[in-house]
Amino acid sequence: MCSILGPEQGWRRAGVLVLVGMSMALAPGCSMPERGPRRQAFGHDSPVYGGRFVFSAEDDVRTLDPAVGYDSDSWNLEHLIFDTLLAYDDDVQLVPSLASSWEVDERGLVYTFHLRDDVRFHTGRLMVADDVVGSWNRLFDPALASPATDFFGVIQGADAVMEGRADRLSGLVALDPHTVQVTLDHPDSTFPNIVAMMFGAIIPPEVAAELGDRFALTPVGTGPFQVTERAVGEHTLLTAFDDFWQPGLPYLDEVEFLAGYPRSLAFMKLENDEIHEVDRLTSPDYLWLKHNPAWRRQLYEYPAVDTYGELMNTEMPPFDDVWFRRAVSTAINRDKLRKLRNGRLRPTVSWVPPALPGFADWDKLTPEERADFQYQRYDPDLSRECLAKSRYADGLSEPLTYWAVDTEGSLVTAMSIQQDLAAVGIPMELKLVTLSTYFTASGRRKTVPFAYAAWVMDFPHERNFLESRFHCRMISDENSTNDSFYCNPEVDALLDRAARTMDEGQARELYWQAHRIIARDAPYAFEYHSTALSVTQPYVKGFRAHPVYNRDMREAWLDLPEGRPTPDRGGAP
Amino acid sequence: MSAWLVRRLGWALLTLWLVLSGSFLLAYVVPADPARQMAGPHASPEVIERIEAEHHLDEPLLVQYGYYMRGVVRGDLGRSYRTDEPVTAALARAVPNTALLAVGASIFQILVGIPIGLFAALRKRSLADLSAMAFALLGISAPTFLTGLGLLYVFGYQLDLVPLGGRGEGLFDLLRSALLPSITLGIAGAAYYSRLTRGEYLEVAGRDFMRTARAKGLPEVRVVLRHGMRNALIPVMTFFGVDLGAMLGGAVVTEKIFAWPGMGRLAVDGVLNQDTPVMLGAVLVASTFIVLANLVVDVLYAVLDPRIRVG
Repeated sequence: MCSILGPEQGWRRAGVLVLVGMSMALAPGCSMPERGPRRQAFGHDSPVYGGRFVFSAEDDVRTLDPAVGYDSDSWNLEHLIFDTLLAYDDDVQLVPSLASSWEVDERGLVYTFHLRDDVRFHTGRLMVADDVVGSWNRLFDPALASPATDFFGVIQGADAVMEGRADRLSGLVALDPHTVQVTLDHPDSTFPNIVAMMFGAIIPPEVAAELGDRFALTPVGTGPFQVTERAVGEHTLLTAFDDFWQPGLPYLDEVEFLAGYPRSLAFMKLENDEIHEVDRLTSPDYLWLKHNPAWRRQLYEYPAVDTYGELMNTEMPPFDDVWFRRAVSTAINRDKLRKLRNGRLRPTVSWVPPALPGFADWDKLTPEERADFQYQRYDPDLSRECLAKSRYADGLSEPLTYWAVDTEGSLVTAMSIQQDLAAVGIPMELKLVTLSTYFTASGRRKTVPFAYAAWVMDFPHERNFLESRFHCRMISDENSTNDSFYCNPEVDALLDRAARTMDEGQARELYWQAHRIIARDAPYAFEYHSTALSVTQPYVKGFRAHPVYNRDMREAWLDLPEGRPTPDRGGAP
Repeated sequence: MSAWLVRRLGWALLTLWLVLSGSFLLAYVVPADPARQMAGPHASPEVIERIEAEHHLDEPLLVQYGYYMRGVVRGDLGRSYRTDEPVTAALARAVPNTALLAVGASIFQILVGIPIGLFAALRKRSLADLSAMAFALLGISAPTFLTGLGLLYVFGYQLDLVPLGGRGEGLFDLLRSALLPSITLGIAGAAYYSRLTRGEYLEVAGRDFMRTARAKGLPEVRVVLRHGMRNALIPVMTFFGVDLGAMLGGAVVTEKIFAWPGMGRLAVDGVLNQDTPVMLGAVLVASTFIVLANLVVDVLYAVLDPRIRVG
């Protein structure tokens, strides 16, 4: 080879090229001025079949057994494998699913579910009413210690089963192969919501009995996907179930869930077109994405069904004084929190989230209602007034102790509140604990005076928000769900009447009354509802970021050139 | 030798028992309730009580300890509180993954660290020596999370040469996916070995036997490698053995950054989820590797240096 450069110059040139190359690689702004998605949608007019949808999370799901899983990540994956008798549509309204219809008697005690006759399990067997009876009886198996008993315990005979006096729920009967009748201990207007929880998923009981513990790894359901590989801590592979009862679904051949990927790594994989969706971003990635025109279009933000705030232990001074609690609640600047969290939350005066009917929207409240909800709003002047009316007008003997958990959200909130309270003359110290320590301590009587807390829905109904945190019945010495230990018989009576009435309008009114009293008594400072997000590749269609199911890919499809017009999977399992 | 070995094995078992018992006690005194962690924040006291009964968490400390140690002796390390999976199954999956990283990192440490150290020693106080020692300083000082993320960003994200985290399937993809985490794990060790090798070689280089070897007319390569390095490597071997043992116990930060399903990630998840059986299983495996590595190093001493005798 002929070169105008000598050998030494050649090496130098190569060295320079390497350095330039490395610099370009390290300086994204120079090398990739437009860091957008690598592939765009092909433009199919209607859904096409095929492809593997890949998504990830920082932790693996705890279990795939619907009787045991009690967290949104487990439910998210279970939603692809299982069905419940009732489900939620995009507007969070209950709709038929495995049950084609249902009715309840006038007393609200007896529910009858009419089942579809074309539903098959992944084993190929047709689903019948006995499977519903078997699935729900299994929830009471002592070996499972299922949290579902807190919800399905309303079925007649549940106490006897839990106390070992019976082995079947007396109130759960298969009337014929396609009809199930459920008799409750007492009227419960939210029973259909309970049925739609993932705990209520229908499984083939004989398979669960045969597999035992292994059912959590390779479960069998009626959903659009079946589990074909499960490596705990690594990945889970689901493949399309060809006999799924909803015609034409699913479009995807496979869904793969990758476990253990930190948020920053997941986002890099999204940019590299290795995964199709992320639902959690680090703050820098979120801000970058919001300002990147190519990716911003792929970001979908929606209100999560949750409420965050500060619990104030009403059994511990100074929070045993309602005026002091009001002073604290009105001193907290919710809008400052919104700014500190990059706008990823919605400040609130309401304990019930916006997706539910009992939400208190300050702009729409009447003056009388505002008089109650004003104690859940930032108003430093009102805070000083309340403080002056409290027993602590002359100051506290020692600073408040605020329990913060070692997460970004908790710490930012804690420091912001510390400043807010100092501004009205209330000193506060932080106590940093781990999440597990916090969970244990906050449920213990007279232990945690003041802390960052939240309620994330079990099912989308205001009862779940109000009763769980504020009913006297939910108080216990250890593991109390009511962690402000707030007890007001008037609230209890309203909540109990609301739960038992079958008149929806009347129930809503009773819940609203209870909500107003709780807002006024301020056992919690209601602060904000979080904003959930989802970023997908441009060619991902039919994917739903659903308030209940979170990442719902049951109807997702990939708008890519290789998509097939028919579901023919060429012998795919 | 055999009596010495039996005695050392006895001490090793005692060490493991003490480590395991201490860890059990620590897990017990932590002010958090694993049952609450398992049941979730919304669970009722009744559900939590049932979980406590199912896992013997409502028993006194000594009874729980008895249950656990009886299981350990039988090879049963219990079931994960979080996933209900047998801990032995989780460990069996994680240990080979971590072993792959540890072996990869060790190879990197040896192949990069020792030659650089020798190169620097042979060119003492030259620009090459200065550059090599600057590499060593940088390698030792750079935090793993920075090195790991930097390598991922350049070689995985920008240049797309290796996967962005996770463990690949199939031999080729597996080795490709292990490349960056192995290098990340090995960089600090390589840097340290280069300093150590340089220092040790410089000390050995002035010894009488080196002069004698040269006076005998042996080729310089043989003098350096056969006579010089064999002596200079003894301290390096000590560190190598202990390092390998520690790495087999899990590389927490590296595994977390690269989403590598090994012992380190398992241990961290165990601690964060208050999953005591997983946590204790990870402690047992990690301490076993360290104890064994120390034992092997002691034996290797005798092999490398005939003046050292055991027993």
